Order: sequence, then C-alpha cells, then structure tokens
Amino acid sequence: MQAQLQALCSHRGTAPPAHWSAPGIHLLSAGQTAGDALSTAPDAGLTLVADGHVDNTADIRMALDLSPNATLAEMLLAAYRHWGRNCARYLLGEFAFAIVSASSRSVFLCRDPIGVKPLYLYRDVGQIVFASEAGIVADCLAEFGGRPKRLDERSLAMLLTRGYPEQGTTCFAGIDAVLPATTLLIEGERVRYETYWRPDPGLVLRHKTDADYDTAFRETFEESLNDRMRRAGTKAATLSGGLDSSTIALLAARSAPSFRVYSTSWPASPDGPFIDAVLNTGSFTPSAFDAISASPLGATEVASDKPVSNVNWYSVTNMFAAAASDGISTILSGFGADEVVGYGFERLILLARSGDWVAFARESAALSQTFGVAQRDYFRMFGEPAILATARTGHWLKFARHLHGARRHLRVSPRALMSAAGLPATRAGLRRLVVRAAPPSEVSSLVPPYLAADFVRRTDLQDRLRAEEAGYLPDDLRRSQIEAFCTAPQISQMLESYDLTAAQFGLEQTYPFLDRRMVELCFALPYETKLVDGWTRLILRRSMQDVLPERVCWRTDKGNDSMGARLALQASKDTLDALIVADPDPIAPYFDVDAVRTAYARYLAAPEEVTATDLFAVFQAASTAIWLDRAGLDCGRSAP
Amino acid sequence: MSGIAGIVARSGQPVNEATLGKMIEAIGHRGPDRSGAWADGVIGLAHCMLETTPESVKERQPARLETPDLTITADARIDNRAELAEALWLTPPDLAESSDSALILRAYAKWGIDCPSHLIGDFAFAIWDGTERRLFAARDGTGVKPLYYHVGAGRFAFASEIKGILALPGTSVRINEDRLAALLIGDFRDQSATAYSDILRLPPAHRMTYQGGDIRTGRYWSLDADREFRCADRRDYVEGFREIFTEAVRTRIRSAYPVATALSGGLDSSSITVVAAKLREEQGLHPPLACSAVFPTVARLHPAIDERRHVDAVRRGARVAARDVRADMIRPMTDTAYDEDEPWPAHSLYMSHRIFDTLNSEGARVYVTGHGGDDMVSFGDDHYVELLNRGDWSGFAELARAVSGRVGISPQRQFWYFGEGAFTSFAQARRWRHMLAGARAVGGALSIPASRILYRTAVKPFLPGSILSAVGALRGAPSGTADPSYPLRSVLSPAFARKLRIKERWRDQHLPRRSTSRSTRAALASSLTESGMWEFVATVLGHASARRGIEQRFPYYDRRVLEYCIALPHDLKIHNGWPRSLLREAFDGLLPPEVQWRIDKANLFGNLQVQMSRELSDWFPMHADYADARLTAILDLDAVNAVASKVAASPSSADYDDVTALFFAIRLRSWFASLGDT
Repeated sequence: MQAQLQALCSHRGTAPPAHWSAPGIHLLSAGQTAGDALSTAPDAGLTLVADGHVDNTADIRMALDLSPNATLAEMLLAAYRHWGRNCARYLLGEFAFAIVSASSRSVFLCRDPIGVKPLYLYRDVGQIVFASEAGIVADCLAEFGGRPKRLDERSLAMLLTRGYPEQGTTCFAGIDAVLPATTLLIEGERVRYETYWRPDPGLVLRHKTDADYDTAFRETFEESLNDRMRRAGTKAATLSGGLDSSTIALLAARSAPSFRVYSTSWPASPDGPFIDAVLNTGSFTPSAFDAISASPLGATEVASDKPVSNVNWYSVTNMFAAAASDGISTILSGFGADEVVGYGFERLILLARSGDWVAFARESAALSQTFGVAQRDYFRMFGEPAILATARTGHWLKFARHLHGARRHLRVSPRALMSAAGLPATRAGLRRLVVRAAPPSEVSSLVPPYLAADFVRRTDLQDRLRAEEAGYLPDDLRRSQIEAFCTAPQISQMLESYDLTAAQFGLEQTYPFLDRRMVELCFALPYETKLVDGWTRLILRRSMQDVLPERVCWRTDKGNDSMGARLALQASKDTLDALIVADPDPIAPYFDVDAVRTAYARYLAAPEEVTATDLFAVFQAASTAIWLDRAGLDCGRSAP
Repeated sequence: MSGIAGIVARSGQPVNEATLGKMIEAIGHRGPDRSGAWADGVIGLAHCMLETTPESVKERQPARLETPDLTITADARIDNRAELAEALWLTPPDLAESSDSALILRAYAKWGIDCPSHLIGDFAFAIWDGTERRLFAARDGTGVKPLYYHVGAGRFAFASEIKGILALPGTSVRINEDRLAALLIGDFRDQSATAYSDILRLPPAHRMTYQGGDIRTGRYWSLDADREFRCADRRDYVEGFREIFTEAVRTRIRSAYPVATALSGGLDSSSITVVAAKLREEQGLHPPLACSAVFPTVARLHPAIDERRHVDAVRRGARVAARDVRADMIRPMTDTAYDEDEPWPAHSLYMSHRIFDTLNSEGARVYVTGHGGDDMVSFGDDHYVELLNRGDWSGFAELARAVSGRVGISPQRQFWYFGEGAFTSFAQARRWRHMLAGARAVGGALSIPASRILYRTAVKPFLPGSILSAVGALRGAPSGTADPSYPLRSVLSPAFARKLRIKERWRDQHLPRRSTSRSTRAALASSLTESGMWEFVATVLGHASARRGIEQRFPYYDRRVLEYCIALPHDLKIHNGWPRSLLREAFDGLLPPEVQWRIDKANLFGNLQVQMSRELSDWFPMHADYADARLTAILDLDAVNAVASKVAASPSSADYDDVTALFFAIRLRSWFASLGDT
C-alpha cells in the first residue's frame, strides 16, 4: 500500500517520502522536505503530516518552549498539544496539516487562513481520505476504496461559467476542499468544523498622520515578504509590470541581488515598458516568456484536477517550467493584492451615504481625470445605489436631500433617479405605477451561450448564478467585504490551481500580499488611506514610492489582456479542429457543439477581433475535452 | 511574604498539630522556604515563609517571648524599624538581629492592642497572649496583607487565604450570595464579607481580639480628612512628596534577593522604577529588573497598546536591567478561581502571571508596582469639585480651559465629568441658589445652556425610570437606555438580580450621595479607604503573585504617602493645566521628559480582545446541561453565549462588560466546581 501511495504522489517531488502507518491508517509525506513534514508523538498517540511553512516560528517556539531545531511537523504537533483545536489561530504562514490519533481514530485537519496550501477530503462511513490534490484523493479511492472516479457536473458548469468552481468544491464528485481558515475534527460520525480566522470587521486602525499608516503598511508588507525570503531554497518572482508584482520584485531584489524574475510578454504587450522600467531600477536576472511562442493549449499538458479555464494559464506553466530549470524553489507572486489592498471605492459609497455630495463630486472628478473614466460612471456605481437605498428603506427626507445634492453638485437629473427608485417621475411613470404594468426585470443571463442547454438545466446553473448575483450594497461594507474576501472562489480556487501546477515543477508559489497580517491590516485601514485626490490604492503607491519607478508607482491602467494568447492559440489549429470539428462527442454533454463550432469559425476568420466569449468558447471546449480524456473518469458524467 | 494560620479550639479540645499542618499546607505556596507550627493546648499557630527582606533570612516563626508569654505568627514587612527601635529601647545591634515579627511582639508587649497604630508597613499578624488567654490580630492600614477568619462551633480559625481555613475539617462552605452579587457589580464596600457565609475578612486598618469565645473588632487607623498642609512655597510640597515617596520605595525594595519593578511606560510605574534604580545604585546593589509587558504581534493593529517608546526612554535614563515580557501568544482566560479564593473576573492577571513566572525563573522575589498611583496621588479631580463647592465659578472655567490646553479635553466635557455629580449633590442638599448661580456662571463661561445643566443635575436624577424612558423614547432613544443600569444586566439571571436587589445596590453605590460634609477631602478619604477597591486589588494581585513565589509590593499604598497626599491643598495637584502635576514635578530630572509630561495613557484592552478571542471556543458556548445549577441561577447562559459569539465575530467590539461577563462565567463555574456538591 505504501508503494502504491508513493506512486500516486511521485510527481510532487523526487526526495524519498516519509511514511507512517498503523493498522488501517497510512500517512505519507512527499516533496522536498518530506522528512520534516511528518512527526509522531508516541506518548500522545498522535501523528502529524504537514505541507507548507510556518513563518512565526520564533514566537511559537517561545510560547511552547521548543528547541530551535524543531521541524515543522514537530512544531505543529506541539502547537496542537498546547492549544488544541485553536492552534491554527496562533500560526502565521502557508500550511495545511492533518493530525491522526491512532487510538481514538480521530483526524484533525487544518488549512491556512487564506488557503494557499490545498487540502482535499473524502469522508464516508469508516473511511477518510485526504491529500494535497483532489486527483490523489480520487485515485486513492479508485485504487483502494473501489470507488470509481466521477465528474462533479455542477462544479464543471460553474468552472466553465466563472473560471472556477465554488469554494470548497472540486470537479470530482464527493471530494471537497477543506475551506481556508478552517479546522475539522473528525471523530467517528461526528465532525466539528470551525472557521478559526476572519479579520475583525469592527476594527478600524486609527493613526494621527498619513505617514503612520504608510509606515504600518510598509512594515507589515516587508515583514510578510521577509518571512518568505527567509524560507529555505532559492527564490524568484513573477513580474507583470503592475504595482503589486513590481513592489515584490524590487523589495526582494534589495536583499537578493541578481534576483530572478519571470515575466510573460509579447512584442506589442502594454506591460512591456513597465516591466522594463522595473528591470532598470533593480538588480535582476530577468527571464521572459514570449506569449506568442507557444500555444495556450500547452497548459493542458500539465496535470490538473480540473479543466484549464484561463486562456492565459500557459504563461504560468511556461514561467514555472523556466524557473524549475533555473533551480528555483519558491516563486513570489503578487496575486491577491487587488483583493487585499483594495481600491478604496468604498470611500465614495460612504461619502454618498453621508450625503456629502460636495466631496463626492470633487473625488469623482479627480478620479475621472486620473483614470479617464466619466465622472457619471462613478456616480452610477457608487453614488446612485446609496440614494436608491434611502428610497427603498423609506427614508424619503434623506432621499430628497440626496436628490438635491446630486443635482446641485453632479448635475444628475432627479427625474432619472426617481424613476430608478420606482417613483413616478414622469407622466408615463405615473401611469405605469397606477396600472402596475412594469414587468419584473428579467435576470440577465449570466450563462455562457456555448454551454449545452441540458447541462445548464441539470446543474441548476441559472438558479445558482442568480443566488450569487450581487444584491444591494450591504450596510456594513467592511463586514461584507471581509466575508466576500474569505469566501471568494477566485482566490481559493486560483491558489489551489497555482499550487497544483507549481507542484508539478517541484516549486512552491508564495503570496506576500495574501499574508494574514496584511489582510488584517488592510481591512482595518480607513478608506481615506486607499482613495484620495483621484488616486486609488493610494496607500500602496505612497508607501512604495521610494521603491517603485515613478511610471509604475502611478500607473493607471492594468495589463492582463489576452491578445498574446489569442494570437498564439492559432498554433493549435490541428488540435482544435480535431476536438471541436472532427470529434466533438466527448464535450457534447456539456457544450452546445454548434455554438462552439460557430465561435471557432469566427475565431479562425479574425483571431484578433473575435469577442472574448468566442475565444473562451473555443479554448474551454478544447481544454475540457483534453482534461476529460486525461482524468480517467469512470464514465463521462455522473449524477450531480 | 508569609502564610499564617491558626486555631483557638474549644476548651478541652487541644489543637491537633496535623490539623494545623493541613491549614498551612493549603497555603504553602505563600512560604515555600520553610514552615513552622506551635501548639499549646487550645491554641495553635502556624507559619510558612518566603524570605525576602535581609532579616527574614534568619527569621523563624511562630516566634515566642517567654515574658510576657506571647507567641506570634506574622505575614509582615515593617518599614519604620528604626523609629520602632528607638521607642522600644533597642540598640542598633539589637535591631539588626531583630526580625519584623520580633519587633511586632515587642511593640505588643509595650503598647498592647494599640500596637498596630505604631507600625508602618504591610502586615497581617496574630499574637497569642498567654497571660490574657487572648488572641490578638491586626491588618495594615490599606489591607495589603490578607487575613481571613472563621468562627463556629466554639472555635476560631484564621489564615492568610481562604483555602487555609477550608482545609480545616468541618468548615462549612455555604455560599454568600450577597457577596457574589457585590462582586458582580464591583461593589467592594463591605470589607469583611467573603463569598463564603462562614468566613470573614478582617478589614484593613482593623484589629481584633478573640477571648473566651468573644470577638471584638475595631478600626485603629483612618485617614485624617481634616488636616491640610500649608507650606509657603510650592517647591516645599514637591520636595516633601519626593522624600516620602522615595522612602516608600526604599522600604519596598529591601530584599536579600533580586528586586523587580514594573515599567509600563506610564507615570506611576516609571516613577517607581527610576527611584528604585537610583536607590539601588546608591546602595551599590544590582539594578532592579524593570519588567515591561510587550505585544509585538498585536501592536500594529492596536497602536494604543504600544508603550515601547516611553519604556525605552525610561530605560535609557535609569540604571535598570530591562526585561521584556511577552504578553501576546497567551491565553488570558485561564481558570484561576481557586488561586483567587473568590470568583472574580480578573482579566488582566494573565499579564501579571507571565511577569511573575519570568521573575521567578530569575530568582527575584519582590515585584514593586505602581498600582493605586492614579488614586492615591490623584489627578487633582477634587480641585474641580472644590471650586464648585466654594462657588468659584470663574476659577472653574479657567481651570477647565487650562487643562484643555494641555490635554485636549474640551472644557465642556470636563464640566460634565466633574461638575455633574457636584451639581447633583447641590440639588440633594437643596443649595438651590448656589446651584442656579453656578449654572448661570459656569454655563455662561463655557457656553453650556444653564437650563441643560439644571435639567441634567437637578431634575433628571430624581425622575422615576418610567418618565426617563418616556423622555428617551420621545427623543428617539432605544427603549431602556434612559434607565440607569448596572453592569452585566444583560447576562444576569433576572430572578437573581431581583432577589439580591442588584439594581438598587448599584444605584446606591453610584448615584451621587447627599454628602454629610462639604469637604471634598473627606470624600476622597472615604473613596480611598471605604470603597474597598484598593484592598481588593491588593488581595487579588497578592494571591496571584503568592501563587508564583513572588511578593508584589505597592509604594502608592504606603500609609505615609496617603497621609501626605490627602493633606495637600487640592490646587497643588493640578497646576498650570497639568493634571497630576505634583508627581510630574517631583521626579523632574529623574523621569525622561516624554514620560514626565505625557498626557495619554496606554490601553492594553486590545491585547486582551485579541488573545481572548482565540480561546473563546474552548469555553463557549457554555451548555446549560453541563453547568452547575448554582451557575445558571446567577447567569443567563444564553445571554452569556450570545456575548461570546459577538466577541468571536468582532473581538475589537468587546467592551469591558462583555469581557467581565465572559470571565465571570468561567470563574464562577470553576469556583462552584471547586466547592463540590455541598
């Protein structure tokens, strides 16, 4: 059994795995530091297997009186024995671990607050399987449990719509991800879930000066970055030319000269000049992947536990491949910075709510000047909802004051607002109100047009999307943002994909912005530190002014376009022909084959001009076909 | 420090030494160095010793004098040894040989039951007077040293901690609900009750005799509220304070072992640390270990916690051995009800525990802290009240403006803070004309409508709650907010609150009372001694430190410091707009200016919120099925659990009452559990 397990995990590292077993229990740790990741406490009958890093080791050692040479696993085990289920609350880092008690046959599972390290679980009567990859769990079940590997159609439907399944789900039926910031204690039939971490929604940091905030931000970020730089192995970073990755690369290069950075570009890429500006500022060994030189479908050649949905993912696999061949073990990524630092638009919402239309007008005009977006659009996004909320809750006096303020300072027509609030602002509106003829507005279709109608129906996709659709702006912005951040699939699912891809190359990716301290700090910052005088993300720009080249620091656009991929996908014409035109049967249960074929025809006719929807239809149909073929699923589909 | 215990048994039933042994064993942590017992017929005394002062190293207790026939067991540090030696005709070599307990014995031999008033220091002792067949006991003026006793079934027993008495076979453990109610709302005025109906405390500044089954207790010392110093020059007052305070510190750093001081960065602890450092340097001794709690993982998001700047300034200027004690990564809700004898939500003790453990591992036995500094030396609050009492309206406005210029609190806020109670007491005393003139003059000077002052001070406090609620409702306030409420109202079981008249008790304690005299000095004196607060703080801290082999000492509790400060003219304490100016000026040159003139104060609550939130799920929800019925009779567990979930969701929203409720639930539960099912 040990050998078979070992074979299932062999792609995760060449070092000899560590193994522990008791009757009916097998634990295996594979990867470069496998030996440090498994520990047994015979006196307590506990065995722990872990993945990842704990960064506040000095603090933990102090609190637990541990020796400085304690391994990761020993430290985690000691933490569990001291703090019990609450141990994760004291840990900083990126980790996932499981503790098994052979005597009580209980299992304790824990994943880091943000979910950088994955952990998947299958649980049934008398059977628990967990692993760092959903595919390994599925393989184990197929091999030892006699449970065939099946597709979870509901997850696939969401993946093809949003780019990722819902948080905690996988494309394998019955296998779930342990949620980030969660512990599970499984004792027989009894499971105790606990969310052990959320930033405090009631906490607002108060300082006297802007400089104090900047210092707090800068110090916290450097702590987070330095902790990651201290980990064993050679580090590098990905560099996109945006604020986030540039900050990481330049700060890291201060302590690691000739620091390796990996970027993706193509001749006319808008990011190019920004990347160059960064490279000219610090001491780097750059490595660039030319986005036109390989096909996006190449990403599907790297094992994955779900179809590759992102047409740009091949830049990740290519950069990782380059890094692996350069002997890199850890890649620093700016992923998550947008969500953590935030743009500060909440400030506009709060100004609108407080009726301070003078400030709203001033701030939105400044933003308009900086970013070239019409002032009216800022009003529509952040001002109007606040006004309509007063009408909805029957605060008519406030509503009237808002109408007056918006008209006076933003020249917004009260009539438009009144009809938006469902009030009879015009004679026609009055008539509509009287006869109540206005039909309930149709929920706009969020389902991609290229999915098979039956697939959409049997996976309840419409209903699920509608339930998710953003409603009104919540009253407590901070609380709802925190909840959204912590439950967002776009973060946890992306991290899971990154981890799996990196593991194939023997790499780890780490995220200095997705650090628990950074998240707690950023969600406690007053919004005035994020959006002032027409600048968004101000605290990041201001506190990194001395690090970033000016044009990057005050950059107003954002790269991340798919033009390179669009062009490069043509190279895979043969494959696409085969999967979409010649033999579309495997994808027929999920895709509207005619629609995909039409999209493909349009793509071939004008790759550069085709809509994003068409591009995604073609790419996703192909990548799904490839994945279905590779995944070795029991039968193409299963009951949801 | 010592643990003391003793029994006076019923006649014809000689004291069993094994029983004495059990009592002293129960409090053995107070004196790990050695213990002793003495029994003679119906009387038995016992003692256990933690050596601290140089004399205590050779001291053996219980100590005896043959003529007259006296035996003592004492937990004492006597600070006026030289003065006593003179009065007792002791030569310097005699004095050097004399332990504190021997001095007390001689004092008793000379002055009899009047001896306590001649003693300065922290003490609790009992003397068996063999000639009179009488037990005599006394406690120091501020109640730093504890003494509990129990009378029943014809016998008398005492001990330094309640657990010493509980170790005595056959002691009843009936619960004193009235005391629990008082603890729940922080009412410490009854200084003899304990949570056990059959165990009492000897109040501070009291002495007692037990003779032939008859108990007599009485106060032997009180703060003299009528005395006022008058010096020609302000500098003389400051110099006088400095001298007395230095002496208070000097006598408290006497130790044959390493000495530690608290250094939080505030004015009180910093003063102690710099004075201690200077004295130790003059004496050619090791510098004091200056202990500062630090919170590196919490400070970033809770800047109010971070005192490193001030702490560092003090450390740079004084010769100290700096010790940072990590107070984050810690569980504050530890269950220490047994140590504390009575259930009390001491929610900052976790930091002290860390410090005690650190000191213990360094071999230190004495820890000197600034507790009480705020109140003993006082911010000068009485000056405000005195001005209003005197009718010096313009003086009041001037003072409020001057202070506002220094500390940035608006004069209006100062008025409401200090003046509201004063005006209410005018109304109670029917000083209508005084009141009206004041409302007009002060209101005019500080732009507060006189009508508002009069409504809030002369009308509102005397309106029944129902009318207040109605007024509140008209103004759009949520219902119930206008009703003056007591802490923990939301989590106390209504039946318990009703039965023990908690609301009335709270009102009685906190609404301004009709003052019998108009002297603010008398009010200060009574708040210092009669509130019971200081004795309670000393007891809780004393028990906690004793458990960890440390004796905590409090220079601001020194009787001489108190007597000096109470007699100062009020306008001295607040000067040039500086509150606490006496303290600031007294350490000119010793304190670094950023500490000497600081006006803000650290707030360590943020650390408690963070640390506590991490272990909430270990304690809550507290299920009624497992809980003691005695607990559910007092607390509404659903409400407590709701508080716990609120705090878990947003630790920074936890307020003092929330924390108190949660700690009470934990401590009460474990306290009841420790009682067993009796």
